[in-house]
Amino acid sequence: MFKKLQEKSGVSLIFAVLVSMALIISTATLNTVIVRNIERVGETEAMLQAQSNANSAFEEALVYISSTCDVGCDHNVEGFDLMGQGQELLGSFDFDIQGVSGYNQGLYYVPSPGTGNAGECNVGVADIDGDCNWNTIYYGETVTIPLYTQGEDVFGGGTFNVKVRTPRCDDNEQVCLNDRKTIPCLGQTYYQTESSACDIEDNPVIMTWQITGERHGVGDFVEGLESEAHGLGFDYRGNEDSNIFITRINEANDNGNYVVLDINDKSSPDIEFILDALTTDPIDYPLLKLSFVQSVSNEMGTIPYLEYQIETDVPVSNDKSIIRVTGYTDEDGESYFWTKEGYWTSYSSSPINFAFQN
Amino acid sequence: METIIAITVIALIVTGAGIMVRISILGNELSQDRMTALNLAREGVEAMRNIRDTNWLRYAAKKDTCWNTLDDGGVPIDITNCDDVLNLIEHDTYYSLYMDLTDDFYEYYLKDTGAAGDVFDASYQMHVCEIDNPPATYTGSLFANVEDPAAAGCDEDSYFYRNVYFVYEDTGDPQTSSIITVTVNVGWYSGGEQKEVSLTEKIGNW
Repeated sequence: MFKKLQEKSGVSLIFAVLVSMALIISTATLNTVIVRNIERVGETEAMLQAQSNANSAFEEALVYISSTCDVGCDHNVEGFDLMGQGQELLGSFDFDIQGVSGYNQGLYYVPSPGTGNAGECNVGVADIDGDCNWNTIYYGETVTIPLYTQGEDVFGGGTFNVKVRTPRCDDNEQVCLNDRKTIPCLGQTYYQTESSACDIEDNPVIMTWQITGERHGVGDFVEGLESEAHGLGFDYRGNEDSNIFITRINEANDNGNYVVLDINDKSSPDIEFILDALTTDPIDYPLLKLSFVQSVSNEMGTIPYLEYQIETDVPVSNDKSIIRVTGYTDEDGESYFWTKEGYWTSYSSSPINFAFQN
Repeated sequence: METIIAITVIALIVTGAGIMVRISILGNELSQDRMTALNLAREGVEAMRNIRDTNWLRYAAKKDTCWNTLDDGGVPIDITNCDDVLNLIEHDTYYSLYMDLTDDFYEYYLKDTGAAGDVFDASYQMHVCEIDNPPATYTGSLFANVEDPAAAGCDEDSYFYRNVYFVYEDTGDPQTSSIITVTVNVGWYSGGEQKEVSLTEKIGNW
């Protein structure tokens, strides 16, 4: 057989062609891989510059906030060019600052709709009770919300509601109010919505609130009014008590509007109603401070956080300025972009400093 | 005759393929070096952010005016002078981004070596530095610009070079501007040719 092949003319050429084709295919494949590799490095370079452009946008936004906004302000910049060392165009960036409360169905909300950190909104942002429209506050935390915006000095509105609710019930949790966890008064195993059902000591303040600012050139503040009522052999919280205590939160969960404090509630020390402090004889530059000061638990264990939402009829500042940026760059006719999102806050802090020691 | 033609064809193809493979290998090496250079540039930008953050902490009492302060060769300067214009990063100037490897903590610092914009100047050359500091928490090696390679345990020269160029936004004044544009240039030799990549990013005082 081999001899037969040798005798045939053109075998060497056919062999040469086959070997050549194999070599060409191998080399072409290798080349394709290497060229793709080189292209990928070029793409990586473009993406890194796009990332740098986005980082630059973030820095620009932060500088804008710190130099321009005393409180929450909105600002939007598009197509800001980034020049290189030789003044060549490296790309551009956009940034958007959202520092003012957001409008939703006739009222303004903090957190701005869709930006809350309590969870996702399953049926859209417009649902005011959707988790994405509520923020969490953990035990020991304080949030500060300026009740005015850049360029204003007073609240100026007629609606002011502080809404607080407990987290959603666990799957196997039995006692819930509107699918929310309930908090029993201290020493009790069942929840109550009537403040008269618990001793004043067993119905502690869970969240403190205070509105600070300036009045007539001097520092001033209002906060929750303590009010006692007397039952048969025990004292309980009176109707005028404007603190945020256990039964007040349960009651707000139960009726489904979650309002634990509104503008018609009484306040202390020397101003009768919150309405007076915000509207009639308003405090300048009012800041609302909410602190989660009393740990709470129920039969399922500790409730680590509560959810809050502020509802007003005029814009106020968000507790944080939300920053969204995009960096763009072009490379070989292809466009690349990089997006980042974050927030800046100069108010919120923890009243408790934890120290760890090994 | 036929055999000669066949051998010639194969020889031509093998030669061509060999050249192509060589080019591919060179291209692959170039890609690897370019990738390394890009990462060194990215590291340079992060180092600048680190210097800004360190200044904020170190000179917290004068945070707004000392965010762009230079160390004196890796030694922090006194807070009373940290906002002296002579101690601030200069506008339109190139610096070497040195790393202090003499302590257990590795701190970046800037130094104007007078080499200006030529990234292939010897003062911008990076070295391969061994890390083996007691208690031997960190081991391995890294690329770094160091002032005294022998003292820092950097026995091997790398073929990468890096410098950093600064431009202040708006006024160009280090004492009043709140944003600085940082360009990190990384150069390297590939087959005797000089190659370079750059990354530009703004860093602010907020």
